[in-house]
Amino acid sequence: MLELEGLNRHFGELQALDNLSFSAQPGRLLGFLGPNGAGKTTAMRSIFGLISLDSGRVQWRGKPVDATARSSFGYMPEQRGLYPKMKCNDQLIYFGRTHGLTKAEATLAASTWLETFGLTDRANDTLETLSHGNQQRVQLAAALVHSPDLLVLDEPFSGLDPLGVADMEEVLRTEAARGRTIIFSSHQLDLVEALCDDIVIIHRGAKALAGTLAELRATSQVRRLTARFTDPQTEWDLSFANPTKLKRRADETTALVSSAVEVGRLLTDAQAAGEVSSFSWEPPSLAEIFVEAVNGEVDVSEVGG
Amino acid sequence: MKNVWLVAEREIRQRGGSRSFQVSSVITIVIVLAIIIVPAIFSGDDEPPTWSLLVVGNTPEAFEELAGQTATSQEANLVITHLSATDTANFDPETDVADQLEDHDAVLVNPASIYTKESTPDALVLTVQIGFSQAQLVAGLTDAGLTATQIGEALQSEPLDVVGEDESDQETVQSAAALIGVIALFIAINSYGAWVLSGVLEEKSSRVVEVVLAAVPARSLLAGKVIGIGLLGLAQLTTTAILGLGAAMIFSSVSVPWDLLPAMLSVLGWFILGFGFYAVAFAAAGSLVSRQEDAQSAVTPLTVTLLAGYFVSLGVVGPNPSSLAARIVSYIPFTAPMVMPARIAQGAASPVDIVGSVLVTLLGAWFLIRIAARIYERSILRLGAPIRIWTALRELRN
Repeated sequence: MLELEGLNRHFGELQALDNLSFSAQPGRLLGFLGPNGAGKTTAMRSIFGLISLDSGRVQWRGKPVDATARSSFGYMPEQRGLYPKMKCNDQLIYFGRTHGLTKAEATLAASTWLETFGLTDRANDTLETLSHGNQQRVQLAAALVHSPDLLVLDEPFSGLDPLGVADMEEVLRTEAARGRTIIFSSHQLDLVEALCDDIVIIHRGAKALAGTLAELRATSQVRRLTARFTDPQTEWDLSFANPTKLKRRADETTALVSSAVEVGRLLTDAQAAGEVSSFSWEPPSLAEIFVEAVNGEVDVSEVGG
Repeated sequence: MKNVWLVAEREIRQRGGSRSFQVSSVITIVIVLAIIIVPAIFSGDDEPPTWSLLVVGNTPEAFEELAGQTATSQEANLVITHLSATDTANFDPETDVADQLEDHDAVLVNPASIYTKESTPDALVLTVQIGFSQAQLVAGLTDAGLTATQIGEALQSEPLDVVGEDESDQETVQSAAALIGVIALFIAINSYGAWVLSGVLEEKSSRVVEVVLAAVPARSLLAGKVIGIGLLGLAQLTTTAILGLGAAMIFSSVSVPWDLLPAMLSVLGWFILGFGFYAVAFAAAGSLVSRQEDAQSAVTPLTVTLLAGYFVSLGVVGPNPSSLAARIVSYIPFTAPMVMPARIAQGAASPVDIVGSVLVTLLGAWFLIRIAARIYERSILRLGAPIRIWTALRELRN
């Protein structure tokens, strides 16, 4: 288990991490979300000691993270990069060895991962001669080559084509099933919704929400309301429920309403307005939860999903 | 520690295996060999020189024989040509000497003037002088009634046996070694320092550094890089030196290279010290910038310091290795690596100076490495605009 406890870090006037705490469990995928500049990268770097903290600590399996622990971590930073003029195979062997593998172990692991990603025939080509997609695969292989117990991926889906996204999803699921602890950040909330067991949303360096997807949805303060009327001309006045994101399109009315508003009352009111052909009242999507968590400072259209 | 060697090994393999390293090594070796071999081939050291002397008018009877003997004793051939009688009658030194000097090394005109040109060997003039005065002596003695045998006995003399330490020769070799050593050190520290700089920048601009630093501490990465490139540089330097020395032994008159060995070893030793000192500074400078375009301005203070040390070494220390100025710059870590090999090669450095300057440089290197490593650690992950050195230093205090 990885625990971040009360992390604080400022850069000048900016409080990049504000008493941030959360934990990640083995065998589970944790989606680490937040608007741009929320402090995701800073938090991830703190796990690897790449930035110094003003206060707080990072613990792995109940002990402060040290060099030995770090050599069992794998990291794919947001700013991708490997040695452009080094052969893929040599590159993976090197990163395997810096994480404590012997030369023989690293050589074996490198060829295994190149095979997994279908890059065996490119093993002796320098990285810069590979396509962008293949470079991303080698980058992921570099994070995985030493079979890390903890995998931290900063925006692993950014810049991937649909095939690359599918590969990445597959790898993340497989690695989680092997019992690894996995943390990844993403703006593609539909992917996070489909993949993650746990979710942490941070805003301005502080934790805004944390829990399983089901928990987040259940405890959300809003509900998504969708009503259809047989007569498309029906005008349903929803103002009593203080709806947000109210949209009317053809025969359909959608809105977010507070979970405090009784569903029975909504249905009765709708039926009073006209003949209802369908009616749904359900927890919001992850994207809607995200927007709610960051106080609506970003719009759903900005975060995707 | 294991990571330091992994980083060093990667540097050696990647850089040593690169085309540019191999090409630059071959070019360096070819240039050094050319410098040694080409003059040796063209100088033709073993051929005795041939002096051409034109005689206008009469000379004492025995002149040609005596001058010839003197020339032989100096391992030279003397060819004497006489101007024809008609030409001699019309000979005007004012106008004709210049023409004749185009074909001859010197022109002897009676009565007793020798005309020379810039390239006339001093030994030729001396030879003619000796031959001429001896010939006059013979003529005088003959007039006094001595027989040829008596004259021969009177002139018989054993040449002086020249016994000396050959000191001037030794000094020439030593100062040449000092000069070559300083130039080699300057070039080596500069070019291998540039490798360190470009290595740091490559990691920073390709962003790979964040992946590396997740497993390797910044200090280990810095140390490994400097050690790896240093070893590679040392190998290139030693190979070039050994090949150069071998060529010098085969092709030219350097017969006892063992005289040069201490000088060469001191150059290698000071390379390690000087490179260690400057390389970490180059790395710290490289960590302050993110782009190749900014690199040059970041290392300007370093290259200027290095250049200053180089000129001080050539201009001040070279001619006066024992002067007070030379001693002072031996105790400044920035200049000591440039200055000390020259002083050691010339035998001008006392043991106290050697030990003292090594200690001062080590101490300076220790301080610089601490500061440079911290600048490197703090700057290596910062991308974007160059960080000013004063900003970096000020932040260290917080």
